[in-house]
Amino acid sequence: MKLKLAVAFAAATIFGPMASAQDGNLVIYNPAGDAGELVIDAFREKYPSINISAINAGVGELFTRMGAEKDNPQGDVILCASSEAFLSNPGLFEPYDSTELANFSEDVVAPDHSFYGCSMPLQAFIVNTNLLSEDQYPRTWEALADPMYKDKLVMANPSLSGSAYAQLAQMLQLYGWDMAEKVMDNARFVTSSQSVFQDVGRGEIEIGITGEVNVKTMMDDGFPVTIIYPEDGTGLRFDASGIIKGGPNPENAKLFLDFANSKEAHELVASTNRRSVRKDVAAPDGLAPTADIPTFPYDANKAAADRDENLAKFDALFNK
Amino acid sequence: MTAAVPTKPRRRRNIAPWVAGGLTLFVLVAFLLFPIGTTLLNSFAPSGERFAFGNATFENFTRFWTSAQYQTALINTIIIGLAVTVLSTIVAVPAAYFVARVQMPFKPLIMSLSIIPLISPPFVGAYSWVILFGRSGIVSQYLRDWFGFQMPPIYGFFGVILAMVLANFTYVFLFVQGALTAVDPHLEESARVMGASRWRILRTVVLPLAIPPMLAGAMIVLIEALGEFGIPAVLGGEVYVLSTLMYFQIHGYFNLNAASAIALVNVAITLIAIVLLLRINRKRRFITVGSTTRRAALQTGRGIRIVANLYVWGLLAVALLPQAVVIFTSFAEKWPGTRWPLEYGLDNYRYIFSRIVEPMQNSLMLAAIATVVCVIFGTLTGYIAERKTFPGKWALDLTIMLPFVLPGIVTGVALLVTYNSGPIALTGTAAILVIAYFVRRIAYIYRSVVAAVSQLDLKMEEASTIAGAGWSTTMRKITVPLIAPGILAGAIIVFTTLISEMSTTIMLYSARWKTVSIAIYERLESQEIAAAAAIGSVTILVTLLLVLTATRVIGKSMSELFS
Repeated sequence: MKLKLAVAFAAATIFGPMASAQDGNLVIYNPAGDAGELVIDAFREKYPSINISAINAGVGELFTRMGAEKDNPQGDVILCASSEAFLSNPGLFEPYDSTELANFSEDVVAPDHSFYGCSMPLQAFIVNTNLLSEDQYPRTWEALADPMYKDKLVMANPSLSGSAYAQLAQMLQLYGWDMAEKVMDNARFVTSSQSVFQDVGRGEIEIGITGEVNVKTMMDDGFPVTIIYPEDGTGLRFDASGIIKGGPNPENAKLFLDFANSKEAHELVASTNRRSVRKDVAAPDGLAPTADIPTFPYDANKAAADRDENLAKFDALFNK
Repeated sequence: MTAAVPTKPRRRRNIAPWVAGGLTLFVLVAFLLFPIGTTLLNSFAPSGERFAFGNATFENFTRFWTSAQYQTALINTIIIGLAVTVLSTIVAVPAAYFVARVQMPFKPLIMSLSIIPLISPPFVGAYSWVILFGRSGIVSQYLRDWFGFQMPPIYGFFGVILAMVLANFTYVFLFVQGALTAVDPHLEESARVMGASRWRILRTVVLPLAIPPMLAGAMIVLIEALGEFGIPAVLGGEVYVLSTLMYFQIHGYFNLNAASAIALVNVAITLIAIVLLLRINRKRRFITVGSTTRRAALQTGRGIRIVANLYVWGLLAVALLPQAVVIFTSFAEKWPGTRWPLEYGLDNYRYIFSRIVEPMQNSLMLAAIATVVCVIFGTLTGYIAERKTFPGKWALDLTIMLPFVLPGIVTGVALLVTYNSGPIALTGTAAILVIAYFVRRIAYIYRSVVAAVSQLDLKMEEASTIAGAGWSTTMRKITVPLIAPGILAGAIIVFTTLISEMSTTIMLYSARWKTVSIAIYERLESQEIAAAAAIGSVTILVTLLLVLTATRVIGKSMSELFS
């Protein structure tokens, strides 16, 4: 065992990227579930002498945790959290020029390099194939406003998360409030984003809007659902990873972020049905390549800037 | 009472109550009042800042009079809270009376099963109602196929109230059951000797005696109903409550100060309710646990036994439906939205085996330690609050109830901010989890001790003191044994609810101290619902076995205490 460790250590020293720290500790905050676990396991195999602990929780809990720990950060790095969360919590992250920087397109890296894109949580429609026949599927965002979908649509409340708000913001950027209001008439807005796709899968309701990974996972499990990308385009959004400012193990954090940005790690992420932001990593098996999916120039900055106003209007309409 | 009391009078000034009181005060201030107080003050600070006199603002509260959503949620919260509290009490009191006063087989099993509704694995537990009674639910489909009967939609007030009543009636049941068992049978016998009919005795003697513990239980139900997030999230549809909005503030806006503001409004509603309940309670003071050691005679009539068995088992059967669905789901290897699973097997258990041993050990250990700490300090404070008069007593009540009323995540953040740095740094340790659990659950013990002590004849303690026993001896040999049923009921609830505690744990756990609820959460995150159900099932089973053993072992030694 000792010999094995020594060999692994030697191999890591010789073949691994130039780094000063290859032992000690590393605390990873992981809101990305199984995708994060795969990346962490692969990193552990590469650097067996680093003692890794992972905290798995939702983006909301982890950012609240980081905020509360600000004076004495306990975590080193956060893996694959929505970029909206990074944007609304500036100052928590340490800029770093990753060795993989050249492999990222500019629009998925923070201008100050404090976070790097990970996966792309594209929003799509999940449709129950038992409850709707193919000619009844909604094909566009605009179609969701059709009265024929009254009470047949379930969405997560846009106040709930970056993804849920992005769904509303995309409709607003494409068509404006008139159309969004009609969609609101048709839709039920729930608090549990899990139950959006679970309910469609179990046949509680016909159509839902959710991340494509959720639909794909249900399809793989044999649920009677299918995935529809709106023909008027889904917005390109991304999840990101970054180093926590003032974390206890900054050198290992850099080592980990370089690995998390690598092609190898992004391929692991893609193996869990998540679409990588790296152009040299293919779309997950069974999902259309990113180039084939109709997209529109979603303005995430505008969406973020208008957020308070949009949500206030949403609340007012919702309670009418 | 055969408790041995030293006969030699002691003249030495007894410092024990001062030590106990001082220690309790320190614990309450350091771990409860200070962290939570400072966090709640932040609700008067702008988003992302800490409270100071310079930046005080009501910004976080203005939504309550500007936003229709907040007003609707406030009204929904009050409606649901009241309905759940009243219905839970109505459902629980007959069951408690039957179990306490009617001869029935399998009482330890009934007691243990009644605890199980308190363990509801996150998401999976609430979703069970959809699996059964949703539009494509199993029961709904058969009703439609066989009787052409269309179930009303489970979503909305109906489903939320139903699910919450069945999840929370246990609190009233346990407290009332405990009190009715412990009541001095002389009271009823006297009434009977004086010629009162059975119905009259029930109405004028037994039920009034059940009121203090019933109110203690109802208060807990109310607080649980106000703070519950999972059930309204899954079954509420578009019926939002304050806990929903709190969740929005943290998850959508990362705005803890706004969440604290909502929490504070939640606290205010609860306080109003508590004050009202205490008012009712104050008018009814009974000394019911006297010097006798006999238990009340059990009713053995055939009719009442049939009714009692039907009612109690029927109630348990319905209340345990979600847990039954969780266990059933854990054996489903393939269940892709069909009526019944397509394949059954043990694969889920094989898969989770390596992921559950350590979290289970951690959960059991943390819950056990926290329960002991709760029992010690909860008994002390409950006793002091009920027996002694001192200025600022209301503050003690308020302090203990506060974290109980707050959503777990707020308590978690409060402790994290306070003990993350500075002289006492506890982040990442087991200690901070134990402290959090203690702070969140001490109220259960406190409340049940207050209720139990209020029924305890002061003469018993006076007799002990006159006989020369010191404060601690009297406490140990007289008071605690007499209120033991109350403490035990509270302790079992604390232990059980802690095993699956989620909302505070997720803020405070470290990789070394991962608990069962985190293990469930991790499986849900990767959409492995059946695996999550398997972990949930093991949790339910382990808890059931532990509680069953505890009620048997402790129940036995307790009855020995009285003989």
